[in-house]
Amino acid sequence: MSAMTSPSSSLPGSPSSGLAARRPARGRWSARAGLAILLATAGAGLLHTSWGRPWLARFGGCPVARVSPAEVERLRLSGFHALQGTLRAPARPALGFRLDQSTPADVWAWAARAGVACEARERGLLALRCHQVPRARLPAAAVASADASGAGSPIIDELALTFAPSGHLISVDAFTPRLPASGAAASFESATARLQAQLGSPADRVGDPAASALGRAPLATARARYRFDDYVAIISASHLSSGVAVREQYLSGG
Amino acid sequence: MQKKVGNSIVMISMVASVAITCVIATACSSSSGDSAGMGGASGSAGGAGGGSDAGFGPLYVKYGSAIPKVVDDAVAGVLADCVETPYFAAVGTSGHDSVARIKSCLRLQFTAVMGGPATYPGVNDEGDTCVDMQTIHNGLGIPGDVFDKFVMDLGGVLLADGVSQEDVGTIAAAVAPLKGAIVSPTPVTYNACDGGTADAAGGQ
Repeated sequence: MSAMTSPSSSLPGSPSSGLAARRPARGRWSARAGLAILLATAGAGLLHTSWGRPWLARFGGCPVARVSPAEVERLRLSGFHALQGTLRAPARPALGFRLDQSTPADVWAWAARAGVACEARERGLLALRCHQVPRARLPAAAVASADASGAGSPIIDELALTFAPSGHLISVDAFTPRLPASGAAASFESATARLQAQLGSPADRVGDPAASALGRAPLATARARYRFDDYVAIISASHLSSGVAVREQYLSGG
Repeated sequence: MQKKVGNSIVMISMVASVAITCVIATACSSSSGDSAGMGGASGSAGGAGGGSDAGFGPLYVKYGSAIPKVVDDAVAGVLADCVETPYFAAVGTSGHDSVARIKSCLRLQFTAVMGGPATYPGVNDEGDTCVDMQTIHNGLGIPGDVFDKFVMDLGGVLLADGVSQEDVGTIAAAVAPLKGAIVSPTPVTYNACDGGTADAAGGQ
């Protein structure tokens, strides 16, 4: 049929013979390109399955879904604005770290001096997570002395320090789970007493922090919050399935 | 003949590409839409009700009208929390859930948990379907301690919003079984679809 419509195409030396010769090459190119697209797309799809995600993570994650530090900070501030108060904080205690001043280098230097193991994680914002931190080695001597007296837990299970896109510290988070109710109650009281000495009474306080109350029922909780325009501190103790957990959060408004 | 084969492969490739791209988009959006989940699973009314005991559970009768505030406060706590926020960092970005939708799904969930006129999974008060906890958190790689911190926040929020300690315990008993669906068996530092587990350099 094609010979009928274009008889000259088979004649040697005809003007169209070169074009005819290129057609198979084009077909091969198209086939290869198509296969390459198919394989690349299938590969990308596989990396997004539950089996492939660990591998995707190794390659740096899903490039189309990355979030910028600014985006994470915007989200964080939207939460902070709902918690903040109206007055400026007379002080901004954060276990001896300096909100809006300490840098990752400062924290690494402290960790090295204190012999504390930390790791850096970055997901929009950089966070340093330090494990099994003795309170006696925190930067603030007052914190160390208050808790070294035996009142609260002498070890912070996980200390997370998060930095703004500017590189300055915006959050200090100390978490210690699996405490006996008595130890949790003492840690809660110790932390709130330290804050009260510098900031006065909390903006709000709920629940009963006594050991008898914290140990009584699932999710028995006590919480004290200090809310200022530029600073929020939250101390909480809760009865979880593994014991009572105590958490101290010190947040900057950025 | 070869050209026909080539064209066919190109066509198949294009169709397959579109299909796989849809799968990728769904996977990515579900993994942070999953964020919607953290707390929740509830019904449809969105907690606006309460106060009426027309066959509703006692918790809903007592606290149904407080559900929107509980949800607003719980979400504010999560967002302000630098430990929890990274798992939901894609919220509000293109292709992912908005904070408003997450809150709507949480209102649905709390309504159901409290015995109100809702079921979870179900349709929220914005007319969207909120999927089950396992699906919605799939791929987020949430570790157990992050779930525990959320539950601690929730305990404080419930007390502050007027729920008695005894009833907080009842709600906790309803929320606790969700841990298995929310916490990842292979937790990652951060969601693989949203940035990976990059161990930032610079350390000791």
